[in-house]
Amino acid sequence: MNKEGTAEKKDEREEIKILAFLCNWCSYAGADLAGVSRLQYPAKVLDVRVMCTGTVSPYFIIKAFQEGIDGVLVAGCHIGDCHYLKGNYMTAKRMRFLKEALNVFGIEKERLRLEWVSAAEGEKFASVIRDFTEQIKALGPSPLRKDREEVAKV
Amino acid sequence: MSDILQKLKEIADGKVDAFLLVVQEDGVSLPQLIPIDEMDQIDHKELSDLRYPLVKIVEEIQERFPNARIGLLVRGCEYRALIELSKYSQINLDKLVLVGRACERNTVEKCACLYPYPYGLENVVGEENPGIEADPKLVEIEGLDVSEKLRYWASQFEKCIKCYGCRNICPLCYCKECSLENPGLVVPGEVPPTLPAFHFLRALDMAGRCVECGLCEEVCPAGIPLRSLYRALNKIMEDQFGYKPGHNLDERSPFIFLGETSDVEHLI
Amino acid sequence: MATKRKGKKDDTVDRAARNATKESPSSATEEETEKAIVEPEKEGEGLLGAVMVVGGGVSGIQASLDLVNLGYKVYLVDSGPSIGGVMGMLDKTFPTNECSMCILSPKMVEVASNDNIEVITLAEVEGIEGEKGDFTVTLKVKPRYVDVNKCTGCGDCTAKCPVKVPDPYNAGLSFTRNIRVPFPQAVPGAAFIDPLTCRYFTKGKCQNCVKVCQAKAIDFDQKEHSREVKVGAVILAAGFSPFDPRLKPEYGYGVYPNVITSLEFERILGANGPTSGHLVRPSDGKEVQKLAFIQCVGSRDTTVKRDYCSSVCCMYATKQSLIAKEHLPTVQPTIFYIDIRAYGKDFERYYQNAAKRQGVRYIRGLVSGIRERQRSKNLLLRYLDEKGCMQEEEFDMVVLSIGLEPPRGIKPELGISLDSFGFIQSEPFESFQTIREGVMVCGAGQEPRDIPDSVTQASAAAGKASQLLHSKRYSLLTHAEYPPEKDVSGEPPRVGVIICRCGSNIGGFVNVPEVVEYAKTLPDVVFAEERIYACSQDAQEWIRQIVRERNLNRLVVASCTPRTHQPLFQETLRTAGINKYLFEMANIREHCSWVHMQEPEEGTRKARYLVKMAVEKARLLQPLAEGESEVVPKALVLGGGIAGMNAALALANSGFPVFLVEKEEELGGTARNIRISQHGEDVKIYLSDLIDKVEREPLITVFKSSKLVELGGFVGKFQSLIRDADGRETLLEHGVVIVATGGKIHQTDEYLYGNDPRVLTQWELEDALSNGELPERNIERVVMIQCVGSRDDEHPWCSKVCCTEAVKNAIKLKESFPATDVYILYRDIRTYGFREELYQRAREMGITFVRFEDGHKPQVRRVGEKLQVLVDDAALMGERIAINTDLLVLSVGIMPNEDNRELAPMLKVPLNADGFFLEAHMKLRPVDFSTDGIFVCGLAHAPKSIDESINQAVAAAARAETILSKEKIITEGIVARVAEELCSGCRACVQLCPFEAISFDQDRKVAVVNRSLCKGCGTCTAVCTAGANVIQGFRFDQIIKQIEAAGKAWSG
Repeated sequence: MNKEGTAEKKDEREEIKILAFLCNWCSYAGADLAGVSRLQYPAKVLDVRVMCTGTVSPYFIIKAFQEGIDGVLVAGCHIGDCHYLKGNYMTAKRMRFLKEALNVFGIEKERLRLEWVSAAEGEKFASVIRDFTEQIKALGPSPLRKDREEVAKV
Repeated sequence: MSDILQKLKEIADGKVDAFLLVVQEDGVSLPQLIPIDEMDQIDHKELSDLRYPLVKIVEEIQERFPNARIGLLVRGCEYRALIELSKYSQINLDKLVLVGRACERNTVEKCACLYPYPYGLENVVGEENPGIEADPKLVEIEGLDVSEKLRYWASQFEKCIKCYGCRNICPLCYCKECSLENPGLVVPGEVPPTLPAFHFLRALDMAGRCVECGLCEEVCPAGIPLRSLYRALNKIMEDQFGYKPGHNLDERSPFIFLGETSDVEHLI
Repeated sequence: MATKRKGKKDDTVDRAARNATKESPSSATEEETEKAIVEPEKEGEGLLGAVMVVGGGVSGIQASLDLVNLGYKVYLVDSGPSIGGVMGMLDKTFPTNECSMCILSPKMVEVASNDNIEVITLAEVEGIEGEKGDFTVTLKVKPRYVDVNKCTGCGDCTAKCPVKVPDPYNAGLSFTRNIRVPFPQAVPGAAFIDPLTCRYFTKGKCQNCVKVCQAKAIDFDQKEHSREVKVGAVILAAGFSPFDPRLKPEYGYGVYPNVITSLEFERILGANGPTSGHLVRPSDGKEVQKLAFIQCVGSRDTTVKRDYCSSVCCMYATKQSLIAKEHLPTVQPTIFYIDIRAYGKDFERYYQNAAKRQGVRYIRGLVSGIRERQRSKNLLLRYLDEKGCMQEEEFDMVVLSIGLEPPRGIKPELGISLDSFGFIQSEPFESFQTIREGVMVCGAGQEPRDIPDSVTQASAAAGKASQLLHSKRYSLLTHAEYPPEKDVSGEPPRVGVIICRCGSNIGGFVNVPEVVEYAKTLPDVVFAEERIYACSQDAQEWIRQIVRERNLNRLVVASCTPRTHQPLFQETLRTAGINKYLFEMANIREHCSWVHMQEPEEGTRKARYLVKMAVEKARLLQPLAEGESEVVPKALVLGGGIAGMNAALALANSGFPVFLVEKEEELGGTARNIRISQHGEDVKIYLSDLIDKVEREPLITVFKSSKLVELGGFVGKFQSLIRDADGRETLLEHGVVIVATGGKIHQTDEYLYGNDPRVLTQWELEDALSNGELPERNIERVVMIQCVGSRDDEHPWCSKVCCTEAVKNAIKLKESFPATDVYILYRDIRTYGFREELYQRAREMGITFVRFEDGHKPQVRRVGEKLQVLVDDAALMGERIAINTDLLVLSVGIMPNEDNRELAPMLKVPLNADGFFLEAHMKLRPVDFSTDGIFVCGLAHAPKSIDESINQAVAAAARAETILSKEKIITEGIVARVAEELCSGCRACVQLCPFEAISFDQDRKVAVVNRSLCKGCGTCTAVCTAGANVIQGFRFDQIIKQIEAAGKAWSG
C-alpha cells in the first residue's frame, strides 16, 4: 500500500481510472461495509451497481476500455451465494474467457479483474481496490486511451 | 462430379422435397434449389467448387418453408455451422438430408483448415485429407508480446472500411440487430473504427460459435486475418471449457447455460 | 375444525376464570371471553388481525415477514437494540458455507421497510392477558435515549463518545463506544445509549453526543415505560442463550486467554469481526496453527444438568474448522467429540468431506482437562483416545463448542409452560404450539435447532396464527394513499439533484457546494441543492415541494447507499406524484467520503463523477409499472401422508380449498409403519384422526390412486392434469402446489433379511411390539444394526430418524421383556435435541451399545439353528466379538421416492444428488422452491421425524398462503422483457434463466418473459447478442451512459 502521490500534480492524462461493476447483494454491500468501517482506499475507482454480475456483458468491458478506463473490476457474490442462484456462474465463465481474450487482443489481462466479495467482506473489498489500483498504476494508462491513439495506430 | 451427385440422389431418394446445390452455369457459381420433380436436371448440373455461404440460404428456406425437406452437400465447416446453428434453433437438422464432402488438399491449404472433413456424417464423398497442424498466422501472432499484439491488430484494423462483409457472410450471424450498429458501442460513421470496439466486439461474439469456415477472411476487401483472430478465441474456449463449436451436437457453448457447480469450480 | 384434545376446554375455563378475577381493561373483553367459552369457534368475532412476535432473531424475522405477507399487522419485539439475533453474528452457515449476514441482511431490510411491522426494541414481555384472538400484551420498554425517527445512524456521536466498552456484537473481543449503532446492518439503524456505562448517567456530565448530533436525536429524558399492545396471537421466538463455559472449570475458560467459545471464534472468523477474519489468538495475536474444538460443552452433560444435545455444535465445529482452513490453509483443526451428529440434509456429506478431504481431524474422546503452558500460553489437553489410552497434546488455541441454553426472559407467567430445562414446552405433533392457545413458539427457544429448522418452525407458527385469525386478515394493515401518477413520458428529462451532507459524514470530507455547482452544469439538471440530512422527515416534505414547484420528472439523491435508503426516497417521489422508478442514487458516503477521508480533494472529485454517472442514468430512466397477475385461491397438495394431510388441513383451516392427490389407495403414507412417536404418543390414533379430519373437511377434495401427469401455468394460476388408476383424468386449476410426495423405506437384502424370519426391520419390530405379536418363544437377546442403507457409498446421507427409532424400540422392548439383552450396533448415535434423553435412559436401562468403525460393517451368519452377529468392537480396539441372537433388527434408512425423477421435470424443480427435492435455499427458504408458487415438505425434502414433517407441512402451507391470500400478485418493476422485434428465437435466454421465467412462444417464434416469475437479475440480457433482452431499470443504454460518464472522469 503506497501512499497516494498527491504532492506532484500529474498530467490528467497520466492518471488512471478504474471502473467497478458491483452486484447489488454481495459486493456492493461489501463496499458499503468498507465505508461503514471507514476503511481507506484510493479514490481512482468509480462504480456501477448492477443487480447481478451475470448481467455484465462483455460489451460493457470492451466499452469501458473504449472509453478510456484503465482497469475494470467485476465483483460479485461467492459461488453458491448468488442471490439469483447461479447468475455468477456466468460471470465466472465469462470473465475467465474475457481475460484470455484481452491477452489475444494485446490488452494486459491484469486490467480485468474478477473478485468474489461478500456483504461481510468490507476489508476484502478495500484491499482489492488498493491492490488493483497499485496494479493498474504499475501497468500505466491503458494503451487504448484515445489520447494515445498514435501508439495504437502505428 | 456427377458421381457425387449420383450419390446424393441415391441417398436422398424419397427423403427430400428439393436439393439445394451450388452449381456452375456459364462459368458462374450459383445456388440453386431443385425440386424433386425436376430431379432429372441434376444429371446435367455441374457442381461448383466455390465455397458459398449456403447455410444462410438453408436458414432462409427453413424460415419460409419450415416443413420442406432439403438435401444438400456439405463440407466440414458447413456441417459444423449447421450443428452450431441448430443449437440456437436457427436450423432444423431433422428436415435436412446431408451428404458430406471431404475437402480437396488445395482447398485445405487455401483455407488453412484444421478440420476439412464433416466428421460424424454417415455419407461422405471424397477422400479425407488431413487438416493443417496449426494456423501459421496465429502462431506468428501468438509469438508477439502483449503490446506488439495490440499494435499488430491496430495495424490490421486500420485497413477496415467497415463494409460489414465479415458479418454479412458469416453463417453464424443471425441477429436481427447487430451490436456493430449499436451507436452506444460503435461510433457511427467512424472509419476506420477505433480499437477496441467493432472488431474485438465481433470477435467476442464469435467465440464459442465460430466454426472457422474463414468466409469472413476470404470476403474481406482489406485482407484482415479475421479467421486467425476468431480461432485464437475459440482456442480459449477449448482450453478453458473444452468446447469446440460445431463438433458435437450434444454439447453447448458454456455461455448459453448456467451449468452445475462442477462446471465453474475450476474457475474460482 | 381445530384439534380439540381432552381436557383442553377445562383449561380454557380455568384460564378465563383466572383472567376474570384480574382487572380487565374493559368489560367488553370479559364479555368476549365469555362468548369464547360458549362458542369458541364462532368466526371472526372479537378477533384481532395483529400478531406479536417476541424475539428478533432469524425465527422472529421470518415469522414477522410471513405474518405481514399473510395480511396481519406485526409487532416485533426484541430485548436488544437491534433485531438480527445470533445469526447476525455468524460468519458462515453450514452446510453451504454461505455468508450469514449476506443472506440475513436483506430480510432485516425488508422488516425495516415494511410499514406494517412495528419493531419494538429494548423491550420485554411482562404479561399476556386475554384469550386467543384477543390478547393484551404488556411490554416493559427500556429507554434508548435516542429518537429512532430522528437518528440517521451517521455515527458522529460514536466518534465523540469518551466511553470505551467491549463490543457485544464481537462477543466482547473488541472495543466500541458506549453510544453506537449496534452493528453496521442493524435494524433499526439508529444509535442507542447504555445508561449503565454512559458518562452522563454515571458521572452527571458529558453529553458530547448531544453536542455533535446535528439531527438532534439524543434524548436523555426518555424513561422506562410500560406499553400495552392488543393482538390476536403471540409467537415466542425467544432464541437461545449460550451456555456459560465457566460452569465447566476444567476447561479454564475465563482463566486461560486462548480458550474461547465457539461464538467468540465465529467473530474471529468473521471478515467483519475484531480481527477481520485473521486467525489469531487472543493472548499474543499470533497466528493459530494447532486448533482444538471441544464438543458438548454444556450439552449431553448431566453434571451441569444439560442432559440434552444442542443439535448444532457438531456441524458448526466442522464448519468453523473448514472456514479456518480457508482463512489459513496451514491451520490444523482437531475436533474432540462423543458422536458426530451430522443428521440433517447434506450434513453427512459435509462432515465426510471435512474428515476425508479437507484434513479436519476428528478424535472420539472427550477432554478431561486443560492446562496452560506458562510462557507460551499454549494449552495442554488431556484426553482418553480411541484406544482407551490417556493422551496429552498441545494446542495454540481451544474453542469450546458451547451448547444452546433456554432463552432468558420467558416466564411461565405468560401462561405457557417450560420444560425441566427451561425451554418452552409445546404440544405433541405440533411443536410450534405452546400449551396456551393463540400463543405459538418457534426457533431454538423450544428445542435446540439450526437455522433452517427454526425458519421452518417460524413459518409454521405464523401459519398457525393465520388459521386462528384468517377472518381478520388485512383488517389492521395500513395502506399508503398515493396521489395519481403524473404522466411524464412525453416530457424531456428535468432532473433534480439533491446532495446530502449527512451532517459531517459527507460534508466533512467532500466539498459539497462544489459538487452542487458541478451538478448544475450537467445536462438536463434543472435543480441542484444540498441538504444537511436528505433522509430526515422534514427533508421528505421539502423534496415533494421541490418536485412539484420545479416540475421535476427525474430525481437524483447523492447520499448514502441505495441498499437501505432507496425505498425511502422512492416513496417520497411517489407521494409527490412521480413514478418511483424515475429515481437514481449516487452513493457518496459509503463509497466515497467514508473511504477517502484522507484525500478530500480526490474524494470531492470522485463524488462529482459519481453524481454525473447517476445523472446520466437518470436522464434515460423510464417510468415502470409493477406487474399484476391473478391468483386462483386454491391449492394442490401432492401426497397424502402426514406432511401432505397436515399441509392440506392447514390451508383448509385458513379457508382455502385444497386438492389432495395420493397415489396409493389410502391416505397415510410412510407413517402407517410407525406406532409410537418418540414422545410416546400413539401414532396410529393420531394418523386415523388426521385421515378422518381430512376426509370430513369439506374444503379438501381427495383424489386417491391418482397421480399428477401434467402441470402448466405458473404461480397464482397453475393447471394440472390428474389421472386415476382407471385412467380418468381431471383438470384442476390452482394458485400453488405443495409437494409432499414422501420417501420410502429402504428395501434391504443384507444381513439375511428376507432369508430368515428372525431378521426384521425396525419398523416391523415396532409393529410387532405394539401388537404384542413378538414370536412366542423366549427372546433372550435382540441385536439391532444401525445405518442399514444410510451413510454408505450408495446412500451417502444420514437417515436422521433411525437412531431415535432404535433407541425407542429398545426401551420398549426392555420395558416389555426386562430379561432380554438388547444390543445396538452403531457408528454414531444421533439422538439430537431432546432425543438424547431417550439415549440416556436406554443406557441406564442396561441396553448395550457397541460401536463399529466405518468400513467394519457387522456380519450375520447362521450357526446351526442360531443367528450370530459378528462385529468389530471399536471400544476393544476393533476386536471381533460374536453375539448370538434370537432376533436381529435392522435400522433401515429412508430413501427418496423414485417418482421424484418423474415429478421434478414436470414441476421444473431440482433434485439434489441423492434424489430428494432441493429447496430454494438450504438456510432461509427451506420449504420453498426457487420456482415461485411451489413448495416442499416432509420426506420428499429429506429424511425427518413426524414432528419435523408436520412443522414443514404447516410451514409450506403458510408460505403457500402468502400467495393464496392475495387477490393479485404484484411484481417488481425491475424485470426483464424481450423486445420481440429483435428476437431471433435462439432460446439462449430460455435455457439460461435461473428461474424458468422465460419461455419460447412457438407461434411467434420469440422468447417471452413471465414477469410473475422474473426476479430481475438480468442474466438473460448479457447473453443476447442482439440486445433483445432488456432489464428494466438497468437497461443497456443506461449502463453504457454510466460507463461513458466514468470514462470522462478526472478530465471532463
